[in-house]
Amino acid sequence: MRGGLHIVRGDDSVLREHRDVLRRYALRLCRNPTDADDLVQDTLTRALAAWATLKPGTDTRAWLLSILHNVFIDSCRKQKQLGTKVSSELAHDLPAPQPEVEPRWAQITNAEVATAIDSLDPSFRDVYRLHARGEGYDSISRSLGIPKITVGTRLTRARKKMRALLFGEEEES
Amino acid sequence: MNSPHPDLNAFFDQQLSAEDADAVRTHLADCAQCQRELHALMQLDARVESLEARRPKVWTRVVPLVALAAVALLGVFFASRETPVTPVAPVVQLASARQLDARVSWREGDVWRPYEPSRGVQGSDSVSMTTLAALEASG
Repeated sequence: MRGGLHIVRGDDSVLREHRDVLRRYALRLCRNPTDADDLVQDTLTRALAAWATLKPGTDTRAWLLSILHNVFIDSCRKQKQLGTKVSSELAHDLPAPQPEVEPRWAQITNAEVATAIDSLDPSFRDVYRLHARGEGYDSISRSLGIPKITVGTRLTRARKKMRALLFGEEEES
Repeated sequence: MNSPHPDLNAFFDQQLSAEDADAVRTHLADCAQCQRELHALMQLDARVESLEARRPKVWTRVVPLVALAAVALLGVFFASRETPVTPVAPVVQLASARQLDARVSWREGDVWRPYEPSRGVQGSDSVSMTTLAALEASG
């Protein structure tokens, strides 16, 4: 908690720096600005509470995304239990999962990710790069002159290929 | 191991209807495999986004190359251009004004002949055309 207080009183730029990323991902999961803001708020609250447990050298953004993921899964569970969307008050009552970045993600370097992207088939690589720059399916479809459904297929295959290259995971057909 | 939910990627990319997205969220509540899959999608996309954000925009790489290519092409163009032929002064000086006159005023006069018209010039070294024509006619 001391770490969290330190951030609140002093340098909270670390969290502010990642707030936009968190909100973007929260929107992708919730598709609702209000729910997304609640999800980000809960994530930051838990991050502050667990700040002291953050190991030196840990990728802060990956760590925060892990917390966001855990909070979101909690909300899914609660939603399923109640048959309705969970409010932020109810979310606070849930047991806080231990936020940890999966070691394999923490160990991957940017150079390895860059090499993996460059190794992709150009047709997959172009789609994935455009998507990573914030382009939507429609925009990518128009830019590359391919059907929208093909954008989704190539994106899915690009991700699988990336994980196969980075972690040696088997690619499912 | 079972395959993850077939709509998980589409859900993550916001391509599902609200109803289908809710179905995936319900599925995610209990499926540890899909939870891991979603986590992996988030981490992977975040890493790639971060890299793409650092990568120079296409135009910042293309514009200097295009400019360089344009300069090179201009250089090649000017280097290979034909050097304009400047009149060679001695040739002009060697030709007599009469010859030039003939060439300009009468197309058929622009041929070499072993004689040249005297045109009333007296005291010239050349033989008069009348004499030469008579000699030619007589063989």
